[in-house]
Amino acid sequence: MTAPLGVGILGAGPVTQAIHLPTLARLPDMFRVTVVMDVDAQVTSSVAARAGAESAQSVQAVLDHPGVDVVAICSPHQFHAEQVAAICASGKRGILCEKPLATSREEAESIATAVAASGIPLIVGAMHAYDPGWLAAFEACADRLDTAHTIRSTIVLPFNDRFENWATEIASRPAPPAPAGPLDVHARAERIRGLVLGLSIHDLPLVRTLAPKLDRVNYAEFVTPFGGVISLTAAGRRVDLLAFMRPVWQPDWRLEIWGDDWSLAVFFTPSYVHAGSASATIRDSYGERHIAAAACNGYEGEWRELHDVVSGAADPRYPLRDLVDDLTFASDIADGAASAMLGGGPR
Amino acid sequence: MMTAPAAVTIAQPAGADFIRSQRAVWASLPMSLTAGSDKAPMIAVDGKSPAWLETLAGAIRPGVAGVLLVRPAAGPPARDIRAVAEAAASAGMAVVVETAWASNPAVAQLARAIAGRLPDITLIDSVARVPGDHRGAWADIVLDQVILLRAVTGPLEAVRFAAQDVHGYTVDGVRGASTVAMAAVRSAVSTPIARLAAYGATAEAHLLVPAGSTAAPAAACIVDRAGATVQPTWYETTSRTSWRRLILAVSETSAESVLDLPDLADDTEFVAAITGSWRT
Repeated sequence: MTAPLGVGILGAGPVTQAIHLPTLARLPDMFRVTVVMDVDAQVTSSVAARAGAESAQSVQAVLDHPGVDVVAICSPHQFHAEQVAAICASGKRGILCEKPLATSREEAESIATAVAASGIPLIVGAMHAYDPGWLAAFEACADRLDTAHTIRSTIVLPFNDRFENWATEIASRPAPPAPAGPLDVHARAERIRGLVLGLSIHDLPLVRTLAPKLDRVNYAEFVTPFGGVISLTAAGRRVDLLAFMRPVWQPDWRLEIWGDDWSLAVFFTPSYVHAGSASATIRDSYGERHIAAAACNGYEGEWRELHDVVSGAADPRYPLRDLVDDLTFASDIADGAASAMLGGGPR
Repeated sequence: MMTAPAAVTIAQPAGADFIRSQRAVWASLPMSLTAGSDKAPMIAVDGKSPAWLETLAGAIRPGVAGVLLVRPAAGPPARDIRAVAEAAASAGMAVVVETAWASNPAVAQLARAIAGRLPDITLIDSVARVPGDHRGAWADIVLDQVILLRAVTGPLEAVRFAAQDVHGYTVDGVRGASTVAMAAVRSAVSTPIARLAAYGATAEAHLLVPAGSTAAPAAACIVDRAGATVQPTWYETTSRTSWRRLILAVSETSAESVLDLPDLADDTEFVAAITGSWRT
């Protein structure tokens, strides 16, 4: 058996604390957390200690650390492109970058250039793309997915802290934004952009496998406190995205896909909770088939994928171009939604 | 004291299936209704028959106390419906409109349960699933869905955009401060069901309504910080519920004047605006 890969983590916020550290703790034969970096020394120290890792306050310190084989980017979105480039230049063996990979098409292309030149494997932390329930449903419907005509993503969740607190004991979390008063259309358009890249993006790689190219955003509206409705057409298919976070506890996270003579509904657990994989229901002329949830979730799937690719045991499930195209797809939807709200009409 | 059942008849034209289904409903209300002659005081109008509005107008005549208009198709202009509504009101006649989803008994039950509990709905989401053999106009589905939304959360106020193709539609609108996402999809494997969720700041309502002719119950619940409260199941067909409404409305003991037509006219106007803006 080979030694576990050393992991350096950039960013010690709730995603690192509630998602990646618990996941890595379940994969001790594959990974060992070596160093955790954050600009907040107190938080970094606390989070690193719980993983038995060193703490650092700079990206360079992580890249210079000889015990780091792979780097997880869990920093704010705007740093992703710069940090991927730095890791590529450092000679490390692999990258797991939290979604979104970048904040714009240009950033994504620059990442693609850096990653391709370095040859380092890159995994994007789109956990549903690695969810065993989704993958089983995808495989079961593979011969008919190109006949999908209508797609609907529903992401209705309580705020993250409810679930973070069940996954770990959070050392610190960013201060919540001050309650907003009435928002003008520009503020709402900016927030719908953030909604797409922060919440809807979870399922957009899945949507893109069915409808690979955005034709136009037909309608978009932001919903307070944090949500929105976006209607679009992609590859000739009607796609509705509904995403909404609010104080009420009940989660409803589903991706529904319809064809003329079949349908697929995939039901995901909330983020953070490590409650196993998605389940799914497939209907066709033969009846109804259920795909039960597995114990392994998409977070584990991401890390297992990174291990297998870095160690040469497997090729990446999603080639680099797919990852860039996923981001471009999401970015185009975000831009189109903002434009539609600003009166640019369908785009 | 027992009273004789009221005579009821069917206005012509009406389809054979409609006549059969109406007689089946009357048979389930044997102490209240009995098949009568053309002079019967209560009349059923087939809303899927051609020119149903003219048929309804013809039913407004002396001696008629109430009409049940069953599942009206979209099409007649709102102004014409309002004219018939005014004539019915002048005649003191009750007109109950039965629609695919809103007339399910669970809908009124849920609407009563949430009254005052969801004053601040910010998002309304509804999806109608239509079976693959549905060959009717999409406007009919939109009308039924708009009427369902009215029944649960109140009338829509504006249309923001609609997309439509042969497989269904997406309609986005507003109701006060609420954003409304409304869609329908047709698939051979779909059972005819409408789903509706109304999200408020501290509570929300969830509803799943079958559209079939059976007494299969809707599923309704209210979710708030304390948990989820499932509404009692109600195994009664929408047609039977609608007839009971009409019977109550025309009974001497009822103080309620039931006239659903003005709302139908408003919703028809709304649907015409939606379908007028469709593009593919």
